[in-house]
Amino acid sequence: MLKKSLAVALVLMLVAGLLAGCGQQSSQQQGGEQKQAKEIAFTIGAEVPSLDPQKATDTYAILIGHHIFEGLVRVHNGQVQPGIAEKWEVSEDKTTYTFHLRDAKWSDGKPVTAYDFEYAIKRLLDPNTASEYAFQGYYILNGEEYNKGKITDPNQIGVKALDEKTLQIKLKVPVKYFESLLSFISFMPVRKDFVEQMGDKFAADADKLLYNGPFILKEWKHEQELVLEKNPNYWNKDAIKIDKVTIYVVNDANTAYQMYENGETDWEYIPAELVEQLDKEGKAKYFYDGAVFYLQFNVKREGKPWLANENFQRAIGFAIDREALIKSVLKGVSDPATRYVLPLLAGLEKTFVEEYPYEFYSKNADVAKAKEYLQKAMKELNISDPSKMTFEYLTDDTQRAKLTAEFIQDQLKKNLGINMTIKQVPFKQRLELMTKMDYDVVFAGWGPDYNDPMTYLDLWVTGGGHNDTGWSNKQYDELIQFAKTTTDFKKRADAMFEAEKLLLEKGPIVPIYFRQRAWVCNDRIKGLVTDFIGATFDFVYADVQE
Amino acid sequence: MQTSNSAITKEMFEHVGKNVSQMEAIARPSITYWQDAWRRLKQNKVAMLGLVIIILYTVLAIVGPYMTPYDYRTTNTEEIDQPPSAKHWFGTDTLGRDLWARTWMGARVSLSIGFLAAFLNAFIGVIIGGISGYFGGKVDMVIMRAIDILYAIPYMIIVILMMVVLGQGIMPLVIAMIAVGWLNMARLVRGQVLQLKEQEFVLAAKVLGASHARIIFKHLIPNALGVILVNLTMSVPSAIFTEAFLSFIGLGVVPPHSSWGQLAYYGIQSFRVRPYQLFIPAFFISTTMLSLNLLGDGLRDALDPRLRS
Amino acid sequence: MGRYILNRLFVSLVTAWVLVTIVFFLVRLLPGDPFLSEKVTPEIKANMMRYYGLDKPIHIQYMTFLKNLLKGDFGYSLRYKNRTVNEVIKQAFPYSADLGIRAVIFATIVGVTLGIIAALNRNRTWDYLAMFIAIVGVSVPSFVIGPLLQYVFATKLNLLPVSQWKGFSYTIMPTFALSLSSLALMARLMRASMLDVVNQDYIKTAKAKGLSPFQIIWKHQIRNAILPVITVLGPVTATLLTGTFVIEQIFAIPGLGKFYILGIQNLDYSLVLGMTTFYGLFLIAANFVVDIIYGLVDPRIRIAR
Repeated sequence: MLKKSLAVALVLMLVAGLLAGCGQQSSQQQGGEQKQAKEIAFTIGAEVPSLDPQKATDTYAILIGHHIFEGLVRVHNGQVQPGIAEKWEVSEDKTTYTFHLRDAKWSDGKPVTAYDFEYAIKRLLDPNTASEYAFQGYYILNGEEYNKGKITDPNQIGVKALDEKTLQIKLKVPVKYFESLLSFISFMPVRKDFVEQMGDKFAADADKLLYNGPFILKEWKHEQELVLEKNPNYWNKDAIKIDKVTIYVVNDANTAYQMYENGETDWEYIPAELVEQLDKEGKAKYFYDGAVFYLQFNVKREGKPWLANENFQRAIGFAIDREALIKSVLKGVSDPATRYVLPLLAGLEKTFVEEYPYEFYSKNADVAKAKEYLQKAMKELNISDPSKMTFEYLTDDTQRAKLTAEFIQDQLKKNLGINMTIKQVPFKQRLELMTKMDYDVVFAGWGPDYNDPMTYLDLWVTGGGHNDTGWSNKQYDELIQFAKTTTDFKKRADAMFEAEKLLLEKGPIVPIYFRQRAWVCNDRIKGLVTDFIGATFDFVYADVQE
Repeated sequence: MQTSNSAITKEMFEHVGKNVSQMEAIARPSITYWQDAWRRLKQNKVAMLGLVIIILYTVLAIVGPYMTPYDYRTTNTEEIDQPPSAKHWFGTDTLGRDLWARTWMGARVSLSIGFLAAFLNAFIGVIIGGISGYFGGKVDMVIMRAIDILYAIPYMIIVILMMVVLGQGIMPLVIAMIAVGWLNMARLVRGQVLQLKEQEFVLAAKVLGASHARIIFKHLIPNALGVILVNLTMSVPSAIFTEAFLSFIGLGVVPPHSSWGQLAYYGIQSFRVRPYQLFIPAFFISTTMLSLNLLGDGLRDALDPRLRS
Repeated sequence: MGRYILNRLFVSLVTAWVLVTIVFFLVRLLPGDPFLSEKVTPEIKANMMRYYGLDKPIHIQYMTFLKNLLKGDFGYSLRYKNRTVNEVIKQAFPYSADLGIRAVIFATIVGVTLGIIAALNRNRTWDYLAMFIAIVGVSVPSFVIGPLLQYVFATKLNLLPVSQWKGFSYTIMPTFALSLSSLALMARLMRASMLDVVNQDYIKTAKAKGLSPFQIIWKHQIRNAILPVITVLGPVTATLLTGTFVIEQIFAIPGLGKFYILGIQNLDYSLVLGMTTFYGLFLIAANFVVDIIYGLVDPRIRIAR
């Protein structure tokens, strides 16, 4: 018996010694010694529809593109860093940018040149490319005109490679956020000869793409997994610690979470129902994903004049208990939207919200105020019974959308005596009904395209491409127009704030919440960054420490 | 045999006349086919249990929501996700709504969808399958090709399309389900009829001059009833499941309605922390299926003329 | 016989044409269009419509579609932008087929066996047990059974992998979950049919001839009783091959099933059309085969013909 336990103890000591040895070996990495590969894994919720930089639109392509491509600049943790462009100059009027490129290579060993960027931007704007995100290039001189077929000569577009290492971009008007915009996937370079050689098959598989980012796509098993490997040709490869990344395609959120629990992946979103428990254990982390959700009123709806009534809209806005909605429907994940602009968006020095603090709605329902507004609305509309002011609430067909709808329905009935019916339709049908303005009130959301409040605010100008409300306010249009053209960024911010206040007081929009996502991450992963624009998870500079 | 000399005379016989009442007398009391089936079903305790459960659930679906003071739509954020208690018998859901009320409101939807769709499917399927199998030849050809075409269009397209065309709700759902739901039954009945129509009793009926309709509906289909019933009991759950599946992809019934399928779908997301939210609707779905199956079995035995003793 | 097959072939082709025509116009009736998105503007959408030839009059699109169909070309997917529908099907269908066929085989073997056991032990413990198993199978929706299996066997017991399709151990839970409802259907049909057959005259004849019980059960009872099972085998195979969506979704299997729902949700016309046509032709062929098998198994049908 004694012998046995002695043996066990010896074995244990031996194992412990080995483990310690392993640890030392990996921390005191010396050249020539066998290094343990650093591998990480995570899941994405759907197959990537396309990794063609100029055709990609979905969040997973943006996430992966962030790691396999590199544009003129790289945005990491909200900061603009030099990318393929080593340095750049901006002209006095802030409309001409001149970028100087560093020595960088494609994954096939050829240099990345300014011509590749010029080609990529022209490709993005070419109507024959049929790029959904072509609008990202509309800031560039003549970009919009070319894409809409108003001019046909691509050489009129304000982008030109002066030589192999110098790229010049001319803008229509000064754009404060233009540098960070350049890190967006649509602006990633592609090489003409390669694209033309591949033809229709370009970007269809791992070997039909060229890479110039920190990683290369080694393998792409459609609907199954993507494997990334460290790019040995990357100009900044010494800063990259991870050797291999496996990305599994898993549609079901619960399945994905169980894979994390079983140690198959390193980070994962938490299914709503499990958040509470993980929050108690202190494991849950949260980040804003950029989307703001709101009720949008169709002010041109015939037979329902109350939808266009500002006081009726405010009454609805004050009658909804945002905090209770988040607590019950969203299990505490997300922030009540008491204003319209997301708290994270950049202002002049700090965030816009810090520089311009404002709260229009309250976190909880303000029934007294809501009733006051309702009384005003009823007087204006000459209606005596609030239950006559019915409307149909249009929403998506997901479970959370349904719960949100049922919650709001009950709140309006309880607090104001207003009856609303719920219409649930598939996503694309909702968009079509919105485009055709065939709805009463819709629960909609908007994610930012760039780090600036303008991404939300310019939606609601008269005749705006996404203004499906029929709302038109001259003062609002003027404020936005001024903000878009002025070179004085302080005055620009003031104008945007005025516009936001105007929208909240009179506009057809009632913000409900700023969406957050809850997630968990393995402790061994260091330096993983989340972002609300671009790549949701940025592991470019991440590391693994066992 | 040796009494050959005694002649048989007329006097030895007596005219009794027509005794109508005795001529038609039957030793056992007269009962119809369905009375007999009911009698034998009653003897089958397991099947009766199934019947009782179905009736119980139906009754509860009607009165259940009124047995508690809580409305199935009223949210209460002070009481979200409460486990079952004296106050909320089945607990509350994620919006603090009473699950007892919701379960029985859901039962209304699930049961009506299940029964309506199954019976309509069976009705259409039996008629079309019967005609197709009985007449054979060109009629069969045309019907079977039509069925082949409908079969080849996946179910979901039809369902989604119908839901969009007709608007959302329970009836569009049922109509969408029966649009192609009868195909299975039609094929099955056709197969049975093909088999049965070659049998002697059909030939006998034909010889006696029975009409086609009479042969189909009086001879062939009653004989195929066993298989039809088994299929019918299977198609109630499958209709309830189709609704549940549609909930899974976001096309189920819409508010204010809910269904067992939707409750279970929500429950599956929360069962790790709040098992009752899954197990209560799952229990009712399962026991409904179980009861229907037991009842179907009992009915099958009771209706089969060959098992009569 | 040759003429019969030729005739059937012609009919099948007409069926196929009617099918693709119906589906071609059906998908266009779905509300919305493929390039609707939150960010798209009308001009950009027009570019995209033009790029994919969707701006042309519908009858020209239809003719183009038929022409390409004859060449076996379904065109490019509207969502998976650099991939053709043929590629998507070629890559994903083997997974669905693998899963579906495993489920059909499992369901048939276990279902028929359960049905036979139940019928031979009518109203005894084995009957009840077999039918209980069968009923449990139809009683729980697959979107419930899938996650429960995962939770118990993968997360809690750590016996099987949570998801994906990389080897035998990965196939166990999906196959089981997918086959349950069909298994139950088969078991119950087999039982009902066996009990039907047992009272037929030819069984009595066989008994009178003094055949052994085994021979009676095997040669007469099962062979005749299996007919309804074969009738549903076609549809069941079709259901299992095309109805893999939930299971594929839950177990993260890269099969074709989920493309179908995704295709409809994204209004990916060419993908939906291509898949419907593919499945349609597949089912038409399957029905053809079932008809022939049906004739082979039941001698009475052969005579009648």
